[in-house]
Amino acid sequence: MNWQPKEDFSVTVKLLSAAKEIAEMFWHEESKYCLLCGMPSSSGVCSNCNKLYFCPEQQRCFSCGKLLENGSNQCQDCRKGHGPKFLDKVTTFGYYGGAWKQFIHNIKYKGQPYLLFALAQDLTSWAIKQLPPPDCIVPVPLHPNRLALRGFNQAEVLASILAGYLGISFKDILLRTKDTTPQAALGRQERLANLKSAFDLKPGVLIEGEEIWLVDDVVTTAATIGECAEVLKKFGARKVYAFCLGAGREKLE
Amino acid sequence: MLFYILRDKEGGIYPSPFPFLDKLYNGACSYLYPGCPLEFIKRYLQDINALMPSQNEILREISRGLKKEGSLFPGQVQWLEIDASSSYKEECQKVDLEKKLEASFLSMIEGRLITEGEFPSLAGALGIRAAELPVLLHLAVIKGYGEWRPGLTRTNNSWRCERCGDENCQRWPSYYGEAATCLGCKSIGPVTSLQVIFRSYGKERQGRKKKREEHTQPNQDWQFTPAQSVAAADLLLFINKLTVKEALVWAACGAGKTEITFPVIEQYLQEGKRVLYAAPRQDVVHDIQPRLQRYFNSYKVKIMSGLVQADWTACPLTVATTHQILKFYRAFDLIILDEMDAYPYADNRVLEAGINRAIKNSGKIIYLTATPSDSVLQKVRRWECYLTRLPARFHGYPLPVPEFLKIEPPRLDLGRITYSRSLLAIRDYLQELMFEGQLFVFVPTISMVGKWVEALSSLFKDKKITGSWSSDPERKNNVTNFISGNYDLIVCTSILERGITVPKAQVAVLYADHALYDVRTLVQMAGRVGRTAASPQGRVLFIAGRQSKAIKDAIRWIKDQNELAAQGGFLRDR
Ligand SMILES: [Zn+2]
Ligand SMILES: [Zn+2]
Ligand SMILES: [Zn+2]
Repeated sequence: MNWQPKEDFSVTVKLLSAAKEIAEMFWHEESKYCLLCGMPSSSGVCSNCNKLYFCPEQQRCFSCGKLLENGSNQCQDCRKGHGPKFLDKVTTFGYYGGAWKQFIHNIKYKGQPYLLFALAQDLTSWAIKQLPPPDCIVPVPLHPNRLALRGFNQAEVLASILAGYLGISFKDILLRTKDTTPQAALGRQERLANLKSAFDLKPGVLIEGEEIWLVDDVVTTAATIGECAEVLKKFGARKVYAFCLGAGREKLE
Repeated sequence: MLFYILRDKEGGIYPSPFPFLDKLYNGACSYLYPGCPLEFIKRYLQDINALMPSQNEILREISRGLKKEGSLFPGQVQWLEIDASSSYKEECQKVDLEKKLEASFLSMIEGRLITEGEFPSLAGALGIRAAELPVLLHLAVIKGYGEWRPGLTRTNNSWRCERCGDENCQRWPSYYGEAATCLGCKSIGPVTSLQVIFRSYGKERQGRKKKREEHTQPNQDWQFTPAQSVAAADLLLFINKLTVKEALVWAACGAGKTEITFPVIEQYLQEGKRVLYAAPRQDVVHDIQPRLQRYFNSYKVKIMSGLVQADWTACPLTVATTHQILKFYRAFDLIILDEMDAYPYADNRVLEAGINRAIKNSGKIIYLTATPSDSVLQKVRRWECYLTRLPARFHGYPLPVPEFLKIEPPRLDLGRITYSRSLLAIRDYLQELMFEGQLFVFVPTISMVGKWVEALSSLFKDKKITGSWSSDPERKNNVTNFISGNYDLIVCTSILERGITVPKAQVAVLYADHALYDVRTLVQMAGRVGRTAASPQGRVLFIAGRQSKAIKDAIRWIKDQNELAAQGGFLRDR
């Protein structure tokens, strides 16, 4: 009864061709209002929300992507060695809270993946400013059961947008082998245990010596992207960088 | 939610999200694995022509359809026996189904249209796990209380939303092929074609009719004005004696139109029927609900708006913002729509579809407005809508009739302000008005607001002048400041026209012949004047280079109301 997800890029191809069209439509229809707060705005996201959620001035922890307050570039957790191991650098687009969190929820749970297209330009330029250009862009996969239920993978939409805008090849090469319980319901310890060997490389794929961007929507413990990076490194990837839409802020005692 | 194609012993086929339940209740025996969204299943089944298709025909058709879509759906499609030990069984056993499908649950879902997005909230209200709710709803479907519908259905070249009926949607490529999200009703939670809607059949429930004498006169002491009494009795007549389904209450601005529906509402509540009072804006809804609750204190008056948490209890009287109407199906015996004309055209289409779905087949609709639209007036002319007039304000003074002034206001937004003759003439009139009280100056566009504030400030150096427009972030401040009397004059766009009462207010409409001003806008703006008993009179000036049709119509509408009020003997002797 288990089905093998086959390697098929047709959705991606369609996404890419749809991306620019949809983005244009958005600017036409909704450009007068901020995508996040709904106030009148001359750009897609108003300057207020930009400061509040995207915090371009703020450092991200290069190991786990958390937003940092004190001007350093690594959070205390990661400095103590609790961070993910196999990633060369992580960057996150914004602070996962308030209207940006709502926006990501609208994408994931409320059937509006196309909302991402409206931010394609901003996402792409942030990513390429923070990370060295890769050989390919790889989304964190959903388990086939989850994918069947939701009908799309938001990480795949994001990865294909980046790939399309940068002209870098998109590779949907990871498999999620374990149907995990929803992350949000578990505590940190269980979450880490829960993810043990949840990923694998699709059969017959070669990534020897490649530099890879791994793309996901939200990092909480960074366990997911850490696992994926481990798999990619195991199969010979030279560098693995990660890009995510949102992460938390470091809480300092 | 994923649906599976089931097959029963007679060879009939139908979709179901929980094959195990159907085996238990309907004797279904096999199902097609894996599942996919209901919309895809419904469409592929449509393509099968045979009356009793064989399992192989179905399998072939589904595989063909998926391939045509370019779906990523895995190739392995197969028929399986419904397994009594499947995980669904455990799921179902955890819910003590029959017990939970009790009257209170059924009354909560009766007349509702429930989207997947609302499942967690309903599950919470029932005190069950989110995963149990779809099982319970499917049992309600099996027992004939409702049906599953896809969120959106494909039309010839687009999609139509099953909740609001709109075709304005965003398409996007999904795992199963093209999917769509409705843009028409996304403000109350988006619906996609991959999701389903539970739609109650909304059985026409017989009202628990208490023995009561026939209502033709209001029986509670409502403290109506003479004009209100006549209109309220007229509505009772419409409800009890006439076969026509809809009625329009055409009221003067500030006549107290909400109250005249109370006797009708009372009658419906006493008969055990369900009533919806819908208004376009949240503030209006939150203002009316306590009033209704006070009058009908032996019933629970439910409020539904974007500001409050979803309330799933079944209530005889619901007060809601207009978009909430889309959450109902054949639910109400009476729908009252306040200020139904306050919508832009596109919203109107969605709203109309929503009303037609939410009302029971035997139900009645009452529209309340000071400024009826063309389309509803046409219905009145065709005898499809009963007309009740409420022409007099509660204080018994006639509506101030606007005066037309043939002066072309200068185009201040085109450059430096020059003190032309026309500007000085306008100044003299505004000066006169300001002797009487605070002055509203209406201009048609946002860009004119600042310029006129500047010009008038330099003309009236001793007066306090402010401006405001609909998207102005300072709007609320400016308007409350104006209402509390901190300013002598406010320049604003027509959007401020509704629901503001300022004692002694005067009105001047500049560029009154502007294309943006239709008869209804002009009547609403004129309606700002003379609303209080302490200052029931005042002046309204329409200032423009020419007298447009809208200006003539607005003056005529207002004169008509006054004449009707005089004929009815509703006006105070002067
Ligand atoms: Zn904003
Ligand atoms: Zn870190
Ligand atoms: Zn809709």
